[in-house]
Amino acid sequence: MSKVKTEKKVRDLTVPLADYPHMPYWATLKEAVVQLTLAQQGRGPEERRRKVLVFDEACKLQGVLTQRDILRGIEPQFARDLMEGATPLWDDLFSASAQQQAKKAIKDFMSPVGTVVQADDGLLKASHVMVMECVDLVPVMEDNRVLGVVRLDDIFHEISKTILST
Amino acid sequence: MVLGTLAGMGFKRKRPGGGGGGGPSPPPATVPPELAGRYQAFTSLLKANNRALEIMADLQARVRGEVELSTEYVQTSVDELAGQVGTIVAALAQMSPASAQGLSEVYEDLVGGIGLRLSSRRAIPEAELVLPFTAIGPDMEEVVGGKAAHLGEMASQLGLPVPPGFAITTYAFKRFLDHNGLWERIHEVMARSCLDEPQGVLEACRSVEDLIGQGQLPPELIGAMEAALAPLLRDHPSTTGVAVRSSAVMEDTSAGFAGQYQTALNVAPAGLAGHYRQVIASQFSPHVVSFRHQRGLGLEDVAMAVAVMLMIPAQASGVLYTCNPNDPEQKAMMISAVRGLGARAVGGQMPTSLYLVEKTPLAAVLREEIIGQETMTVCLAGGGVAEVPVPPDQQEEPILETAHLRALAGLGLRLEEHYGRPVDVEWALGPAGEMYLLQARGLRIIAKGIKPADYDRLVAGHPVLLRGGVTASPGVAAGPVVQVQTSSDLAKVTPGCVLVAQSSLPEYSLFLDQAAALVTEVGAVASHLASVARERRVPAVFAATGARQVLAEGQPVTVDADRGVIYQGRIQALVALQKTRFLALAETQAYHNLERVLSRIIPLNLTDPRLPEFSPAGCRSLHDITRYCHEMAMQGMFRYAEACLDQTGGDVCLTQGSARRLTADFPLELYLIDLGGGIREGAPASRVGEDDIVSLPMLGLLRGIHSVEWRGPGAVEAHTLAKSLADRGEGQHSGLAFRHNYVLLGREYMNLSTRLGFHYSTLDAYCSATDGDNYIRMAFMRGGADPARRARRARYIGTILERLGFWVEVKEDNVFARMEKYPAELLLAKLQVIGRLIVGTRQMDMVMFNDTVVDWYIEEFMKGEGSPSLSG
Repeated sequence: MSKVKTEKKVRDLTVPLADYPHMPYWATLKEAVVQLTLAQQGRGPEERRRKVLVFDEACKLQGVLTQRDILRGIEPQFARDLMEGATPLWDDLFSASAQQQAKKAIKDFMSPVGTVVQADDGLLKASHVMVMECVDLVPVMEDNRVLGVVRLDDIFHEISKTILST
Repeated sequence: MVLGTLAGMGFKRKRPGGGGGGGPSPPPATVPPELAGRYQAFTSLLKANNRALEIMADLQARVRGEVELSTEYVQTSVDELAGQVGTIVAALAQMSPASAQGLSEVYEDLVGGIGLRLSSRRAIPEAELVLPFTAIGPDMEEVVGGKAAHLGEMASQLGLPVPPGFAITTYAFKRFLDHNGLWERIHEVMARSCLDEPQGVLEACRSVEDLIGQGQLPPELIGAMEAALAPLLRDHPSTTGVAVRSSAVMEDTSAGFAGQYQTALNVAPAGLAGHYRQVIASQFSPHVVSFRHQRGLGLEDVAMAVAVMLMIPAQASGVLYTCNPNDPEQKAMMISAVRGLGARAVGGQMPTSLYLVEKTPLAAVLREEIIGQETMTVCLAGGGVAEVPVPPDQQEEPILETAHLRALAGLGLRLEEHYGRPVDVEWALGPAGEMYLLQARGLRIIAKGIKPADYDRLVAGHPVLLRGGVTASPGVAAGPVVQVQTSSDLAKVTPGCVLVAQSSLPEYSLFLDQAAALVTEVGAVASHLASVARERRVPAVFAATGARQVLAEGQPVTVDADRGVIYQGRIQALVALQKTRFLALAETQAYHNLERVLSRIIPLNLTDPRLPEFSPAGCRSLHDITRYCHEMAMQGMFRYAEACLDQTGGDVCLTQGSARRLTADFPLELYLIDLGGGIREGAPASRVGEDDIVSLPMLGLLRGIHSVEWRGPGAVEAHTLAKSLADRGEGQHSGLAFRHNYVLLGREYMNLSTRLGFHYSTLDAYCSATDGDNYIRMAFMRGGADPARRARRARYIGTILERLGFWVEVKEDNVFARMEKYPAELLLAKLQVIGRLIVGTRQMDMVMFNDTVVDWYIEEFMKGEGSPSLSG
């Protein structure tokens, strides 16, 4: 029977920033869609990129753009249709007004950063934060810089391994 | 802001090489002299560079024989070229003394060498009055003239059979003129005569011939001639006399003089002095004077030496061409021959037998045309020559036997090997069957490129008047027939006429300046007249039997000398077709001069600026110097903005008030410095608006900047940048002190040095009416980001610029791009795209987190460009 492993740090499971979509706040919704799509290339569903980290020009984290945010960005048009009693159509996605909407900057739709974790925090602390905040991903900071992100999936997987090996 | 169309920017396309339109407007007084001076030096360098390249292209065209050429022209062109290159060197020295280190020495050396080569004919060198052939080497043309120099070379260096003899030098000619005070008197006659008209030429010549005929030989010359003659007579007691032949300095290299000078055969020793004077006087025959006048040559240029050689009482004489001038590709030699002495055969006054033999020592006969000969020229015992009947049994016999043909072929091969090109040789067959060489010179040939396509269609409907002539000078020309017989027919000759003559007398060359074509009833391809016709590129058909009967005076005809056919009427289409394919290797002194100097002008050795030999020391031609200076000047301008800073990096221009803040509706702080003509006159002294800008490249760039939406923040403040760099652990870049974005402007020039986001870029552009001067150079460098992102950014910018048609080099994460020598309109359109790129590239680092994203952004950018082509 092997000795119980010491607790890993968040750093050990961090997806580095260079490997995760991130953009300046003035980028458009369309660019964000492109980033998410391209970032997914060559990855399985378990590694799905669902968010875009949003920075300012000085590389300060400003927010996080989620799939939900992007849909909300496209939505106003559909919402208006619904209020007028019409069912939004798939073809509306290609309408001029939808295209116009996609050119809007992501800063108007992104969600606040919320809680972050430090690279040297333990995994349990990170899992606690995610449970409490109801998120499956948090930014990882080190020396006031964004190092990357840590995902609930990865933490859960690590904890599972530990439980099964004892 | 409305910028208007490019055409509305006041651009007038000039034909390339039209020269600059004057210097730049003077810069405002507040601009530091160093900045203003550099720009002025730069524009004068561009202008001179452009002109220098034009002159070189012109000289190249001329050496290819595409255009007429004269010595005067070469001299003038080369002088101007040297002047332009001098301007270029001086301008670079002013712009960038370090780059120009050692350059003026290289320039002086080259120009000095060129000057020496050009002027080497300008003075008559002091020498012995008389030199035996055995003491003459190949480099003594200026001393003994071309003919004697070759004879001496063949006798003393090659050991070939040349009759013994000596040369009376050009120095003797000078002494003769000096002794009789003739320089001044001849110049006086020439100066008061109208040499553009045949009548004026004739009168001047008569006067000068009289002057020379009355001249006295200096006693020391008479002594030297007698001393040289004595051993000749002693060693050959049976001789009847000597041949006295002209050996003018330029005679052999210019067909214009060929055969125009006198040759006296079988001169009794006592008559040498008199014949010497006659040969000298032939320097003033109408044709020579006219030719010399046209070519702008002085008397010194054509100083006359005389060759005196033992008379060979020849059984047969003639001319050997070591290649067939009508078909240079054929491996054949052409030999013409007559019985007896050859003076008249060479002069084209009588028909000659012709042998075309293989160009091998065996000299197998490919073709022979034996012409019956009833009389021949022979030496008389007491001197002089006479025309005597050929013995009846020999009249129809071949003149040369196989052994003779082989001997000639052997000599020809030997000479061609020695001179490295085809030669034209005069030969004589001695009484014992031994072969002598009387003269040798280079044979220049007109390259033929007969295009049979469409020929039949072109000539359809034009009756053939005459067929079967021999090509003396290829080409096609048309004009009205003018029949000439004597010099009194001069008055009949009109420009563009077709001369029809009975024989190929060299005197007719005087007419060739005006004639479009030449047709003779008798005459040999190996004649001086044919040679002159080839040099002048006058199509000539010889041996056109019956021409004088068939071709009526005034009748328009077309002479196809290539095919030996004469058509009725003008076939302009055929003439035009033939003109375009003409390639003539002119046999002129001018050509010779040009060839000699061109090696120090044209070859371009400096090709790659990155190589260590791209330096002043590596310049081996004027072309190299222009190339080097142009490149270094552009490199110097590229770093121009550095001059805005003092040694401590302070903003000199800002503190001195020469920089004006641009008020614009985009968030980029730009400080403009007007070098002259870049900002509208009367614009405010401190802040200017976009409407005040008149610099063409800047306007192009602004159009681009305005064509895209500015997103994100404005100019990043210095402390924010420094902090963010530090935040990102990229403190190694903090050495990049913040400074203002300067734009140096001229009417046709812009240098923009900016920091946009984390990028540093320099953009240097010149867009004028002279395509050859125009360029855009730019660099994107040293932005802060991790190496992978910097590489992605370099790929992004590099790929886009490459697709736009730029020459791009990516070194690590820096991008250098160039586009040169395009019309201004096209470069202005490119600047517009660059404006868009500069805006769009801001903060691009952040999104480029993988390579696929870079590809997407490249495609997005190019979508805005329409088709990615040079058409811009």
